[in-house]
Amino acid sequence: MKKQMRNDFISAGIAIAFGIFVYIMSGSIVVKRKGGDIGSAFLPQLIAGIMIGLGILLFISTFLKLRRETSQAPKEEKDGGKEWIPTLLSFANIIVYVLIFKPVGFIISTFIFLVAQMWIMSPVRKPSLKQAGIWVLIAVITTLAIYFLFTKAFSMPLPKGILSL
Amino acid sequence: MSGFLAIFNPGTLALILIGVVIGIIFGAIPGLSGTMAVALCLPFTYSMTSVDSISMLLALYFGGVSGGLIAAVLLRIPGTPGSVATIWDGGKMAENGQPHRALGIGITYSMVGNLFGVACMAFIAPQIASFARKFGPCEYAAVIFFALTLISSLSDGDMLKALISGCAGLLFAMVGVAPMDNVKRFTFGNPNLNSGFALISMMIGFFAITEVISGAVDARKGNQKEATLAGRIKGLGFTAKEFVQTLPTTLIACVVGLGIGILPGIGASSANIIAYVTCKSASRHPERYGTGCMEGIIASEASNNACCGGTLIPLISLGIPGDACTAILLGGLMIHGVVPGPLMFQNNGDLINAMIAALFVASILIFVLQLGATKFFVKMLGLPKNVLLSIVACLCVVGAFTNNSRIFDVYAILLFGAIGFLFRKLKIPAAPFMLGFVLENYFETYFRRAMATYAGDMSVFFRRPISAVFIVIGIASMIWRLVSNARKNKTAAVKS
Repeated sequence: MKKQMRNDFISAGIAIAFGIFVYIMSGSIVVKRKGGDIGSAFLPQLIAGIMIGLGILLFISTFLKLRRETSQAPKEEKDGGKEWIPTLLSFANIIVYVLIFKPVGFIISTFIFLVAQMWIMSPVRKPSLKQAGIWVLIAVITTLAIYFLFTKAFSMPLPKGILSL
Repeated sequence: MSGFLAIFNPGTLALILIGVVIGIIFGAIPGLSGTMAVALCLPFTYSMTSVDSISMLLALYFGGVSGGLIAAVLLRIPGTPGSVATIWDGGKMAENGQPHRALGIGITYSMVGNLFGVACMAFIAPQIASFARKFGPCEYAAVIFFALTLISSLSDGDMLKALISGCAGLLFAMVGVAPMDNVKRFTFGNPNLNSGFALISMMIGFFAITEVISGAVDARKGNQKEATLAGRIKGLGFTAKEFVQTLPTTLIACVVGLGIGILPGIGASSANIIAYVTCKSASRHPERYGTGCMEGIIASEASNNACCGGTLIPLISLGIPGDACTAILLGGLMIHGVVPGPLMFQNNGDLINAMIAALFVASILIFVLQLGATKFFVKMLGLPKNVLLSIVACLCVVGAFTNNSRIFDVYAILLFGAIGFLFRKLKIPAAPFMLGFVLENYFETYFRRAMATYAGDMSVFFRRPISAVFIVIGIASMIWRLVSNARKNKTAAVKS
């Protein structure tokens, strides 16, 4: 099966499942109709219904495409195995940053995030002491610049976290 | 002329310059917006004269919208929701090795859009406002319905996926308290969800976080955009011939932007996408859109800036603020004892002239400053990608937090980042999601208001001429697109 078709089947599946989930959840919406108002459950149910219908159409059209193309010796495409590593690490790093942003505070969390993210995205796996020093310096300058720009110049508070103790 | 005399003094010009610079910075940083800049600077204007105050606030507003194109072109991350469509051709053109040209076009047509909006505000504001007064909930709902039908045009060949994406955007926008009856929907008992997801969180998650985590692979390979740094362009990045050839696109983009600006609420965040789709549909070469063509950048940048002028028309003519930013501007005017509305032209004619002059000067300053800084902007691309994208990701998180000082908005970017990444992997277009997300609340509000007003009689949409026209055009264009899409697929299947 071609990668694109596999993607389309997954998209159709997600659309149908999400549509059904929303439709079921819409059932618990309190309906207060005044005058000719349609109530708050009408549009979510309508859009969820359309989404289920579109998901089914996508499934059928992909299935028909698959039947047409099975005779043409399909090639199995592979994802670039190791290419997932920086992507997953980056996302994990952002998740950690977001989660510690408030409890730990802007300054410490941003410093850790920046150094980690620069390392994750760097072509160099084992940085020299000089390279690491540059990253640390960039992280310190960026963190402090953003902190003072937002809190002092823009008067926008940023979480102080453990530094406020 | 009296307006120019009012602002041509060093103090007012300096305030306009400061406003423009701060506005551009806020516009260029993903997560920050012109609205935020206007809100932050409003308290500083209390002690100023009314002319100084409104001149600075307007400069911030225009600067904020224009600044969004920088990040959109260079990083493929929209600086503001109003510059999402700029990524499709501006970002592509930069990727193709012409960042100077992309920025030159974007900056120039930002000014064209700004000046078009200002000119309309100066000469035909009362006429436009009296036409806009004919719009009731039916007409508003019909116009937004028409805009929603454009979702089918936002597909890269796969209309079903575009429609699924649009439906998902509509459903995510329904989270929170519903319009009209304030009933909670899909909040799962979490009070943070009562006000729904913030547009900024959605935009950052969908476009910035996705770009950062997708860019991680390239960055690790050390793929620097060396091609983009090569060579500089002369002038503005396009020829006089190209300028003439793209005049129809420019006009369509400006008119669409202005029209959407006049409608309350919708604003630049959807104007750029709607104008892009409209220009693409009207083009003789729609296949060029998305490949880094000049028309694509014009469609987005001229429309989002013309939209700003449009939002000011109902503000000064009717006293109706169309969005959060114009609501703050309204506050800024009222603090100085100026009450916008039909009488403003009689009572405060001088101030209106000064506003128009300030907007004119601000538009020129934005153009000069951005064009002068193009070399510096492009040099940013020379930074190692791991450093640049890390700092951008950090600014995005900070931007999402400072929007409402709410940590929940920061968590939301993770959700939308994951959805955006999934969409990218499954090749589902992101733009329909954004359009659905932006328009849902307005559509539902006006639709339900119309239903409540006309006792649930849906035929009212066809009995009122303006709404009937928009609904019929919307449905007809959607059917036409469905048929032509089916034909294309059939031809492709026969060929294969």
